[in-house]
Amino acid sequence: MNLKRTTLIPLDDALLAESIFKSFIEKEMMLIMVIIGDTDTIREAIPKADNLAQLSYFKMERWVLWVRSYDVLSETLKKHLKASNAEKSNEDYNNIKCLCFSPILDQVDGIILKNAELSYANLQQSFFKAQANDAPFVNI
Amino acid sequence: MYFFKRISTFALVCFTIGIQAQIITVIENDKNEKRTISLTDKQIVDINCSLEIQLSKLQLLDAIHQQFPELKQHIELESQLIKLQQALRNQSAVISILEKQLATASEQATFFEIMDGFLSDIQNDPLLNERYNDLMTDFFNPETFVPGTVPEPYIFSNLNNDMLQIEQELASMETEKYTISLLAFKRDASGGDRVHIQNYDTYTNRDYVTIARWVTSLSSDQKQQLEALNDIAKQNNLKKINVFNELKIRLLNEFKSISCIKEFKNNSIEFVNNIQLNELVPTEVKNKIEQLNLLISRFETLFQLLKTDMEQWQINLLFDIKNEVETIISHLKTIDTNFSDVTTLINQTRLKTKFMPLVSEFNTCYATINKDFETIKQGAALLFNLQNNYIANKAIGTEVLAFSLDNLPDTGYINLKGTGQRKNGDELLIELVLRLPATNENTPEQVITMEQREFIMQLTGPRSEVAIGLIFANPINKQDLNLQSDRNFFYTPSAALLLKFGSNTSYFYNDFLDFGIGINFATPDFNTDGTPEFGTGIIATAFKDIISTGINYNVTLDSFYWFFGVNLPFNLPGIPINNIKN
Repeated sequence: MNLKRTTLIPLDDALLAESIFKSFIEKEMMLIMVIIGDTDTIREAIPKADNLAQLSYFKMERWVLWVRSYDVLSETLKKHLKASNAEKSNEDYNNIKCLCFSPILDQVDGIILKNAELSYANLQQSFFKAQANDAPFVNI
Repeated sequence: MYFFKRISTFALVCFTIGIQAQIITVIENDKNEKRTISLTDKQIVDINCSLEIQLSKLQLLDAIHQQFPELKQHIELESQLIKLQQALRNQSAVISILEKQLATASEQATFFEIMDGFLSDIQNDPLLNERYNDLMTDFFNPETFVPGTVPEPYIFSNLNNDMLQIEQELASMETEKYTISLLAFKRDASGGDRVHIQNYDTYTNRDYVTIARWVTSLSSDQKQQLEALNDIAKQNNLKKINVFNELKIRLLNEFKSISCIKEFKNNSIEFVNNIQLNELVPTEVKNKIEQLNLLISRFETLFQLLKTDMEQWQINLLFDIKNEVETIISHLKTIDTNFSDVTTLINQTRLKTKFMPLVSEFNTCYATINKDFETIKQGAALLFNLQNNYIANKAIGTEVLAFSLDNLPDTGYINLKGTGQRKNGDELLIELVLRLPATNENTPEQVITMEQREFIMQLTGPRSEVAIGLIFANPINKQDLNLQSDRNFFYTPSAALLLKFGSNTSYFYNDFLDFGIGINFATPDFNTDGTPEFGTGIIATAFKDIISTGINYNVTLDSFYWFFGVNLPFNLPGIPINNIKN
């Protein structure tokens, strides 16, 4: 896999994982897509998400974080999910395989459940949902 | 167990209705308030409202698919075309926003909203989803991908090409092409009339009539006019039926001229078979007369058929008879032409004088039959014309536009105010029909109703009505009035201004309960001096004003009285005929 805009979150170092995640979240004007799990379908979806992360709409950058285990970053991600009003945010964390953070307010949106397909359309919609969340705060 | 079964069946029916695919969605727009009338709602619309009719093309496609499997390929392509059209409906707005260097917050919000809808449409269709994935894979091909670009123009351009390709494929398909029309009719006591649906036909509106909500009086002119119109309507109704019955009787009982043609046929056979003349009659003439007799036999058969059909003839089936009458008249003309040929041939022989009685007999008979049929035809013309109007209203006129699925408008509008005179309880019928071309040259196109919605028009919400009637008044303090009469109740004419409510959720309330409350004015004569007193108070009515009750104050005698009224819509011995007029 030749990934250009995807970072793999380490599985064996919780602190480092937290630190990497935090550093991305703190980046301004960047949409972060978090893909959780390491199944065949996830492996097929990662290159698609990476491709989509090369796109930029209205000057907002995109990045993908691949969290290969539900044990890593779970508390942090659950905390963000709890704070979110997005559709499906009340779902069980273990039932979620993809979510996005909005570029300005870092709000979770564009949640994709395990039973959904990780197609280009679905992943692109996830990015758009997260970006739409902060559209009213764009200073233009 | 029995009730359990009944309840289960009822629940199943309700569930089936609930999940039934609905092609036509009707939205009532009454005073800027919109209400979607689903199939499970009471099908009542306000008599002065406008209706928005939305069609679901995908549901329509499903319905066509189920009913016409032979159109499968055609429908699948059309379905794909519609899905593409739907997905790409806002593509120009997306491109326009993307082309801007600095899109505003509101433009960005619009962009994300449109794209969310677009991507949902894509995911809802497996074929489109697959196509989108393929196109995105192509777009991100490392050899061609240009960093800094976005895929939307590429995706839209390819999907537009797909649409063109499908259109071409559809145009080249040999399967019979069907069209779709949306029709609306108004049904009332006098029959019916077509109703204009904006975007779906080119009919003009009828007289623009708003049914008055707040009626406070009925002028004497209006009353007279109404009564006169009512009489005319009654006479016309009777006349129409009378003319029809007369025609029936004339053909069935009084149409005796048919017997002369039989006599002529017998005489002509006798003429040909006459031994003395037999050798003198040329074979050519014999053959011609034989041919003529065959035509007469055919005429007799047609006439018998007409007679049988006439016996079962209903006023609403005029056209069937019209066609039969026209066939007979045209057949009579053929007989006349043939007889002329025979006469010409006979005139060339020595039999001319012998044949003259037959010529004379035929001419008289033909003239009589022809005259009778012409009379029937002319007499029936009035009825045929009436039927023509009815058929034209129910039939699909040229003004009704025929659409293919891709250019079928999504929305149509009916303004009920533009449908002419109407009253509470009249019906509105909306039909979505599929029109298949005729299989033979002389047959009409096939029209199949795909979905039908029927609505009752009702003045919903509050309205006022004026009611006139006779009440039975009972003075409350009779002893104080020193009345000469011992009677407890006095017949008293009264008029009332009532406040009523029309429901859009209950047929039972509108058609039966129909409560009213209001002010009553009455002119009793309690002291029986021949001069009416004046009384006023409050009144409540129910069951379409059949019963009423209330309390009035007799202004002249300074006393209260209560009253009740019974205004039965039929004559009952002992109770005066006293229908309330609104």
